[in-house]
Amino acid sequence: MKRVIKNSPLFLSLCILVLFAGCRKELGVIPPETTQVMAPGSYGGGLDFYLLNEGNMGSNHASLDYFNHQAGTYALNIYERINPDVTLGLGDVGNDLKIYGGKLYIAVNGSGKVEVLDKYTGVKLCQILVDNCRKLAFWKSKVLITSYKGFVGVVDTSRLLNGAGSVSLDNQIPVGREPEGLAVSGDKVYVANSGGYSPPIYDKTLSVIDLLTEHVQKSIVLGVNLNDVQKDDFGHIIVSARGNYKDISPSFYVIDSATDKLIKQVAIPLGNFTIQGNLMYYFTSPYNQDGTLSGQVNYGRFNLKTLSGVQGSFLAEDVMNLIKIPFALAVDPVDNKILISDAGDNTTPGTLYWIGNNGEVLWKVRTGEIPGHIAFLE
Amino acid sequence: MVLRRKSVKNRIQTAGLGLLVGLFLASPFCAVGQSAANDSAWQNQKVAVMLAVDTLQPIIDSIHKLQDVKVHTAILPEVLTCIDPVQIITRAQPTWQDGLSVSDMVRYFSGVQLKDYGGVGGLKTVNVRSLGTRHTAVLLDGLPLENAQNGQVDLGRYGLSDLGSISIYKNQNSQIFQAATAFASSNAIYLESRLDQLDSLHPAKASINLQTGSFGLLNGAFYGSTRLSKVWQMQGSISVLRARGNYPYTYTNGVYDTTLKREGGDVKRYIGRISLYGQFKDSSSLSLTAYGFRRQMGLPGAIVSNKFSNKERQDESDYYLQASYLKPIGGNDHLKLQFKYNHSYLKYSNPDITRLYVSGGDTIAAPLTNHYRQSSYFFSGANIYQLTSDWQVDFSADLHYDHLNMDLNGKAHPSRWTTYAAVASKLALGRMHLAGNLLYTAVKDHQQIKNDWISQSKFSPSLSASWQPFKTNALKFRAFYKRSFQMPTFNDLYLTQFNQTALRPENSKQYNLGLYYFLSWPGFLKTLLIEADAYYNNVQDKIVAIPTTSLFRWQMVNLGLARIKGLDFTAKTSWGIAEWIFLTSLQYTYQDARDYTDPGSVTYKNILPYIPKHSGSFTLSAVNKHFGVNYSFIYDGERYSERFNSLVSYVPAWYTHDLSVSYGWTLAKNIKAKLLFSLDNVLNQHYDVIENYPMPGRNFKLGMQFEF
Repeated sequence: MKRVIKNSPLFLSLCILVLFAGCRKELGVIPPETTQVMAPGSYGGGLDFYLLNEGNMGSNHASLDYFNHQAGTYALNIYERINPDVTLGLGDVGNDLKIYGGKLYIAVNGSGKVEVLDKYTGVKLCQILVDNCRKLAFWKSKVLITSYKGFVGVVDTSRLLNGAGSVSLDNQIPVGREPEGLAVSGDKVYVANSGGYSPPIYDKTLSVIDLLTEHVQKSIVLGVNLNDVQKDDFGHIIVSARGNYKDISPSFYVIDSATDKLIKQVAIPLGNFTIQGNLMYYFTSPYNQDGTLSGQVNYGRFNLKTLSGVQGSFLAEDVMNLIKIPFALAVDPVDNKILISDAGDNTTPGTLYWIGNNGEVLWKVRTGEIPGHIAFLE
Repeated sequence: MVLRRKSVKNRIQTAGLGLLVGLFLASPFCAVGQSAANDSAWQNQKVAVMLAVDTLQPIIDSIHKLQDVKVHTAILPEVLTCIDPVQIITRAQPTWQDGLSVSDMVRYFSGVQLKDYGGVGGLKTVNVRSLGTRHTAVLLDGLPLENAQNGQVDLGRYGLSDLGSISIYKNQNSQIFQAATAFASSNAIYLESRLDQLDSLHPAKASINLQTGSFGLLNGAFYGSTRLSKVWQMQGSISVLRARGNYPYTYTNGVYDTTLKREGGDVKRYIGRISLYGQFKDSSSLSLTAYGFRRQMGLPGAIVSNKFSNKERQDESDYYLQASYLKPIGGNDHLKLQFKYNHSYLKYSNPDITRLYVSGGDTIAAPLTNHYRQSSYFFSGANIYQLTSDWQVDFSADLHYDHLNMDLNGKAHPSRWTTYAAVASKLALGRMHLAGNLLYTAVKDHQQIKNDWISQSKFSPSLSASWQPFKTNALKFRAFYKRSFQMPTFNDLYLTQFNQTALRPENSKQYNLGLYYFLSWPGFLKTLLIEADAYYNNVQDKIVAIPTTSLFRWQMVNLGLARIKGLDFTAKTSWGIAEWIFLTSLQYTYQDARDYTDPGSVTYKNILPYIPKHSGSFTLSAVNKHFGVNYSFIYDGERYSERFNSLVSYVPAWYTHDLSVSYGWTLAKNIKAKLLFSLDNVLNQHYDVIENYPMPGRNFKLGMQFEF
């Protein structure tokens, strides 16, 4: 034995192996990272909000952040700590985030699911299985989900109980190709069809679904590559179009929801927009006509009552220069604070800016990858 | 035991490796002291080792002869002639017999990161010294394997049955008599075909390899060579590989612990090849090769929450014809002419996506299917002239033409002309050797979307030196400097639809300083080889894909500056105990590769994606007349999947232990047989090399070989 120890290269390599065995650490549950962004209690009448970071495709890096207005803290990546037993976590490419009733809904595109969480605790109740899901809307007790598979999925909230596991859809209403945004008005839902899988043969239609019968009532031909749909307080449906990245520029359309007739087409190339009271806040697409990045972005407002533009920018000049690729946009319904995110170069963490009424940054914080969607906890 | 989750604060890794290197270095010297000298036994075993190592038989040109020399020197490097850092694995090395593809061997090299997407079919590319995949050229018998589409060569495509050796040069082959293309990349992997020495006593040779293993693996290969006349020799090979790839994998965060089976990882691969070699009276020689490849496989995709399978598929085929002619002109001048035609076809399909196609005026909806057809022509001429016995000069000029036809989003048929011209020289001044070259590259692109031309031209120099301070031939210092650049590929330029004509090439600069030390003794420990190289690289204008706001649109940009400091260390020993010969090999790589793009950015000075600080391998082989035992250990340290280093992008270290045993015997006169069993990833460690692409756990292979 002694001889073996002295001479054998085998013995030596065994020793080496033992050393190597200590060279691997696995992470386990990743804890949230909390930043104090404002003094505790200094935002008395404000609202908490959730922010969904999309994460790059295939990375499984979608993540959820939470702003606590009383504590003045911003917590990155809260999902895994609250729901450590969900295999591989929130998932791949978070595309939409909405609060309805007592629940928080998150559409996770690459994971083919809509996560249903308790809106206060963030605890997962169950999930809805929808292949290639994109955007969420709600009508009475129904959850409506667009899917690139060419339908709007419907599921009743009474089925979304704690512990229900994976819930399949009650109905799939066929619409146009690769539907994106959708908005409910009365008993109708308006669905923007993009046709994005088949360039240059884009879809041009807005599907109008009668929710009582769950059938498409009509298709309104609007413009190339429709994207987002939102409703305002004046009976308008606002539909943005991305254009064809060649000769047709992005623009947006205003539809009268009573008659389903086009009222106006506005030649503003919307990147993203949000509606608060009389105003639509928007920024223009950071891409040139041919699809290259321009860096020239306008941050403007549009009056929906008068259907005319508002002079000036909602951001101060120096703030505009800070933002590389603006992405999420939301306005706090309580005191009109503006939230705007910068996706940076889309491959590294983004930044969230909290903008005061004079257009200056009140605080900013590092987010996850591609901060995309915000929901206020009212 | 090893798989158990450890706390974040538990960091031992660097200490472990450091100690390892120390232990390993100390051991041979201890052994020397103990062993008694026995000259004749030492000589016998040395020959045995040589025989065990050598199967690469040179018959054609001087490159093959040099290759042969290098093969010997890989383990017994007394006659090492190479100025530049080189590593070689030959088919005689026991690790070879366990492998299926070139990628399985590349893992053993130092300074190399194999990017492996898992399974037999998963994409396998290399990143040498953190410069990026596109900076590595892969040459088969001196001619480039090209992929004009994305600039990376999948090393899982190439089987091992018809190859003799694989070598990697951290700059370029110091054998300057080669195609100008070989000077053009930052580093290069050379694949050399297997070539048998035939004579009138042994006019034909053949071998059959059969392998089966876990996850539906079946592999069969036939190789044969025959002497047609005094001048001509023919050889051919055929190999068929099939794998189901349905291996189990596990993901856990300590709370959930989910084990699933990989789906859609099936692969079928067929390779056929026939070559004709002629050696003429005037010492000129000719080689002609026809090669065919077909692979059909699933693309199992990333494993993400709630999505554990993927229906994408890929069907590819590749054909080439190549010819190489070598002629001595007078005593001091040699001419080499080479030609290659290559056609490759790739069909990608995704039944999960339905899109519209316009066909004959009708619009039809069908599952997404893309076709890529690439034709490449390659001509090369090289001339080497021996000015004095110590001084050689080479002129090489190449012309490439690549044409790609693809049916994505409208029609795009880009084509590219590339001209390389190089002047290279090699000079011996006593114990000092110098080599250098200057390469001129001119690229012209034509694409029919906008009907315009893009052109680029550039000079790139390289200089290498080695110096032996002592006559004893044991110690050698070496250094090199090299500049090179890589053009944007067709994918970079045209796939994104945005016609980024402003995209600049990627530039790299490399500085290397190293030493080489060889010792041999009569007795117990036979040989010791130590090589260490420290280097500094920088890469500018890296071409990166960034997503835009739409899922379908990506944009290519020139991004940044990366600085890489590193160390490659190799130690090899051979030992003799009774009838056994032991070989050990230790490779260790340290890399500090960081992003220096933007001082204001959160990624500034972060570690580049998928570059571990520490990585290495250790192999131990023991062979006697009948038995062979091989153990190998591969370690890749912790790293990050993204440019921003955080807990979210953290990818844990991994290591595998692989074991194999073989038994060889003489079945009948002129028939040798060998039975081989191997067990890979013995501890069944579940790991990802690339995040979300799980690797197989414990698996076995059983093989049978016959040599005629």
